[in-house]
Amino acid sequence: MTKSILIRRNFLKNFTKIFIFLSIINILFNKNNKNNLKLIKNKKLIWYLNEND
Amino acid sequence: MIYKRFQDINFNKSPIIIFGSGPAGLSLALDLEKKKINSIVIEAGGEDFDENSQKIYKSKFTAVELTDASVSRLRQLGGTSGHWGGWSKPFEDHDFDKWPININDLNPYKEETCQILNIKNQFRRSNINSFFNQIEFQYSEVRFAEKYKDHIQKSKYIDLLLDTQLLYLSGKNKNIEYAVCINNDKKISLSSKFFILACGGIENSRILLWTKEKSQEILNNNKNIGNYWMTHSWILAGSGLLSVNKLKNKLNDYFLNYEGPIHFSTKKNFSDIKNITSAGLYMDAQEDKKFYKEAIKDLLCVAPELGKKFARMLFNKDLKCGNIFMHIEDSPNKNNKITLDIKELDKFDMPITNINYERPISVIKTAKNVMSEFAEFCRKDSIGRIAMHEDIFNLKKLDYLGEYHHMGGTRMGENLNNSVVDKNLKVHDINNLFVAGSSVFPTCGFTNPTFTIIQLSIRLSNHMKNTLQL
Repeated sequence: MTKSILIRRNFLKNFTKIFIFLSIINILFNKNNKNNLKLIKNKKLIWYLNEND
Repeated sequence: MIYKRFQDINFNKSPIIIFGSGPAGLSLALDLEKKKINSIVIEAGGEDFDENSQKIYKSKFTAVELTDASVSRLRQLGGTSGHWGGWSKPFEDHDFDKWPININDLNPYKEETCQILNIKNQFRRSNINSFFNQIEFQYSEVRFAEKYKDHIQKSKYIDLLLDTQLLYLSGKNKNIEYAVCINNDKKISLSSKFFILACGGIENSRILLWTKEKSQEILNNNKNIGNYWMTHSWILAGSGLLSVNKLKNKLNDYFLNYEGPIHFSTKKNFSDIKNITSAGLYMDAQEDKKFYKEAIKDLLCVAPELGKKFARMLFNKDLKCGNIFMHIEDSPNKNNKITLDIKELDKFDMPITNINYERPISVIKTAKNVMSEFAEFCRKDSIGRIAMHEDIFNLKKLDYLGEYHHMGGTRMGENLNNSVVDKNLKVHDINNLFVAGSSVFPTCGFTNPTFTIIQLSIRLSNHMKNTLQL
């Protein structure tokens, strides 16, 4: 196996790992975002809502 | 028997005179009857209330104007049970933390209290999270006058005298010797072995304060009469839309599935952490289509997609929605007190009461914390959405709906420094005078008081039978 193929394979392996890690973070981050509290005032009432409501 | 003239009663056959025929006084007389002990019940009003009679109940408020005391209570046979809402449940365990008795001292009288109130002995609770429980009230429709008038009329053990105002008590050497009353415009003195005051959450203090003025030889050391007066704050806190199925799923088999309003209460843990008093939340989830439509319309304005979702839930009959009301516990304060206004006398030449009551600052803080935490619970667990009144959110003001629960003034405790009666409801320093009713509450929780008032009266009856050897 040539040196260049090994480098490329390692790069792909690492890239996949980083990609999966970032995807998980993104999912969690988005989920948290959805559950963030959003307060909206309407007719003297303060509504406790989710950000994505 | 029921009488209108004192001359018709044989006072010698009864060792006990009870003043007041409301839930406290009649429950006591009824339990004494079960023990075959005679009692005489003296009622200031007649069989029914009238405008002139109600005037005697006039009170002045010197700090905050509360619900007119000549409207919030009734001077008649059966007392204020003549127009009460009937909400019934025992106090929470932790409500007794500052009482000289605990919940186990009252639990034996739960069943009998339920029989008196014609309600089921069922007060379930479900653990929602570390801050809230779902709780259950029973609703009594008992009016004491309607339920017990015929019974008393035929009773061999209860004699009831109507239209007789107690003015004050007189005695010496730590004993009450006689009670001075007015019957048919005639001043009379009634003697007995034991005297029980069960005249209500304001009148009990008033009678004792006037007794202190009139009889120099008794109650001199009792400095706390009238002090630590309390009332529940009953407020409109906001509104909410809840998914019944999601709440049911969260609570599994513990969901309290009953029609109409849903009740929640704060746990002790919550009050401790936030440094607030306890509160009960009441969601008036009546099946009023108009209200449901308005609530969904409001939600559509602030969250259109969510509004559509809730509209579908309404269509699928999975929605409980309504105003959220709260009963908030009061904090005992020595300066919140009943005094006598010697400048204004009633038709019996008795001073009317001055109630100096300032709302505790903690009430609005409690309202905001409880609503906010409840809204967060509903939102995070996807059970529904809650809206809080802007003025509560900004800690500006509360929308008070009336003060009907009068408590404290003759509070229960260990000694004269902080109380008026002992744990057996006997007035400190007097051997034969007892007080029944919510005026003996040292703290008041958020729960409506009548259930506990009756439990205390039955306990007093037992005490009289067992300890005083009647």
